[in-house]
Amino acid sequence: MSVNGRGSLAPKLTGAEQQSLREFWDVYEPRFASIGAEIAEDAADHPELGSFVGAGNGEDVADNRERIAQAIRGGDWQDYLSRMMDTGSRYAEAGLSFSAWFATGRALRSKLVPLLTDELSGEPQRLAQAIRGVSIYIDLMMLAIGDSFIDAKERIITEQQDVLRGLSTPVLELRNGLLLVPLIGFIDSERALLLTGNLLEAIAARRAKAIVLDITGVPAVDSAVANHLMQTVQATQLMGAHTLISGLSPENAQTLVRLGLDLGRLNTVGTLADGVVAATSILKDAEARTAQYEDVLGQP
Amino acid sequence: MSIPILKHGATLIVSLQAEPTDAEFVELQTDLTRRVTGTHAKGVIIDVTALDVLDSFATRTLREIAQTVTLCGARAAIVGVQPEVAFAMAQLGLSLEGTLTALDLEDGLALLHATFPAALVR
Repeated sequence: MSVNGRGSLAPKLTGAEQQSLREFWDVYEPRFASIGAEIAEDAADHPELGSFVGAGNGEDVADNRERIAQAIRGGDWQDYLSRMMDTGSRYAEAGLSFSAWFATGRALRSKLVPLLTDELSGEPQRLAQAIRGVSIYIDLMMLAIGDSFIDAKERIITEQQDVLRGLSTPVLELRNGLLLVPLIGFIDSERALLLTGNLLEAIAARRAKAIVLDITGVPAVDSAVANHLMQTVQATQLMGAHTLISGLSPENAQTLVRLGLDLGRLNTVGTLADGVVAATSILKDAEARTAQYEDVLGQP
Repeated sequence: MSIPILKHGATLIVSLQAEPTDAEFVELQTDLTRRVTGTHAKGVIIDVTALDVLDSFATRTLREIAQTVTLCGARAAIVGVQPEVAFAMAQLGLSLEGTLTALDLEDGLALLHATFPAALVR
């Protein structure tokens, strides 16, 4: 038994598996509505599922039963499984946990098995088949919900990452020749590379002479982060710019010292305000140099 | 053909075009040192704007040139390192520490003369 690749929703079932499903469905179908109502009632107390599993109106229940019948008797799973996949995406978007929706499958099984045992108690052969049918049915349902649940979760994570990446490395021009890079959140290698690249492009584009890299919003600075910062600073120096790092917290400063890192090349200043003052003075020096040189050139 | 060295007042200017070979780099080092002492130049600018790569040998040679020039009583500045080049160098741990760096020739001249007034244009 397996669900085919994405897109086509036709599980490959052997003849025996189909027979098991039919055996189970014969017992389940007449009680579909009442069992559904019982499960919904139980779920109403669940902290997460409560608001989710309404009893559903009679029409919905009938539709759903029709879809399952179509799948098990007619072999056409498309409608039923795509419905389950929608459910999975909805669960994920609502932030439901894995265990919460998995509990519905467990609840269904715990209702169905005793029912089958009662109904088919005189016929162990059919009972065994029907119980196998329950497993197949629940597996297919969970597979469909789970697949789309995880897909939807991944999609949400990717979207959030994209948003964060966009936010992660703003390079602001504070005044002509002075750039400000406020960093917020954890810095990993990918972010550090993005930051360095963006910053270097900005230096070239805006002829920046001084940069303030503010790390007030960076929660933890370890040796990896310090190395990234060092590389960024060195790269900017190669382009003739001066980079100051501001906002290193006392805890982070102690960590760096304890790690024994050579931070000689990291020009650190206290706060962002200090950084801007220091950078402005660097900028003034650069402007004065240019003015002085232009004076010299202008002399006859 | 050896790399041309231009004289501008008390400053020598070298603009590297195509990526020089290792041999050309070594030749440049010798030529420059001779020219600095020969012309009593006080400043040297090496412009790498046109280069899209600076490997470890080039980096080391540029650093050595700067040190040699300093020993001869002048100062050197490397100018025009492109963003991609700076990025790659930082990744590889290559640095031009101990040498002056500037965004471009114009900034380099100003920086050189401010750092070392003796290199003023005459």
